[in-house]
Amino acid sequence: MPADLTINSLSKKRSLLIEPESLVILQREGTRDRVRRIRLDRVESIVVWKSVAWLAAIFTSLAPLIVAVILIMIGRSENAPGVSATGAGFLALAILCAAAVLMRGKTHIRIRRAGINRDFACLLSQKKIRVFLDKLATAIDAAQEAALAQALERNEEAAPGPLLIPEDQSPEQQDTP
Amino acid sequence: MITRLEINDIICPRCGIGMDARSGEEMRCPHCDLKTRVLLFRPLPLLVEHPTPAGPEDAACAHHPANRAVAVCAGTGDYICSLCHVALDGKSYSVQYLEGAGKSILTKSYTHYLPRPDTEIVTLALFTLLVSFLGVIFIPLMILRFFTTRKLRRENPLYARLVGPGRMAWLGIVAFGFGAMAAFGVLAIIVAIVINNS
Repeated sequence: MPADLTINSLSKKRSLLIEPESLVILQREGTRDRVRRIRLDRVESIVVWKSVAWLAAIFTSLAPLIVAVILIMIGRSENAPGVSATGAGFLALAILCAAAVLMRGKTHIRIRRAGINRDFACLLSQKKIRVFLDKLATAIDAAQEAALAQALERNEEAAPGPLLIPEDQSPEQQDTP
Repeated sequence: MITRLEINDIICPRCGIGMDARSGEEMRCPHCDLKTRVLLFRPLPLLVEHPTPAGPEDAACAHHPANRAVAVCAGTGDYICSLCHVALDGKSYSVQYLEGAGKSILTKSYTHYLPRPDTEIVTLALFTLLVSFLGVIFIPLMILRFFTTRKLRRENPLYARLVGPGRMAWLGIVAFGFGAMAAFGVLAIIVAIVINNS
């Protein structure tokens, strides 16, 4: 599987790849990709919400809409009902395209790490996004568990033995005069 | 499906009002009624290294005179404490320098690029189709880029994941297909010239 999630917008194309320790964001820049990494060990939350994709709906239906308007106008001026019917077909196609985009909606994903938000917006199917989020959540859990284990291990190495009794209350110190 | 049972404050993305979020569940903002789904995690708290107070014999930090210096800033040459110290590419810098004059160093250090010769192959193939016979000059470059792609796949696991075997096969067909077509074309021209001359 090449990328876990590919986000195409008007201005940029981004690919998200989930790695064991980080989420890699590749942003397309001509013949190279800019690499950004979000380390998963300090991700605090992920918020997902949907909004209506008006702009995308307009852009998607624009091409068939223009064709439909031209065909209907030609059909009326030339008095050719066949051309008008084709235009009506294109109009229906434009409405269908817009409806499909509006029904799908734009999904926003906000990843909060160390107090900084990273936002992604995409027009993908809910199934694809759910699979990605489940995979990401599993990877974050694993990374945070590993980080905790590593921190505990480092703590053990720095101060071996039980650290529960403060030094001034230890039995050795109480015995000394 | 992952379920979590934690309660935390999450800010509504639309209106900015705090909401009591329960992880893994769908919820609505009490103010703007925006439907959201929240996943909460348990990150490790950031461990801050406390600076040591400077003794009479110690070098003191240029920005925090009460703290003992632990390094010298490579940008300004100032003594810096552990609060100001940032290690970048094996060098020590102060936060103050990186926020001011050394901003470009910080940007450079965090900017990484992944070359994409596979995209170049596709662009060259499209360009070759566009300019017809003149495109023959780009075909050796396409084949060269194919081998660069292969090398990069071996060296970089991230790139290997991005450009899978299927895409690699497709790129090979494009590069060598165009190469074969160009070779056939050149051969045909040579044969035609030889026949005409004889």
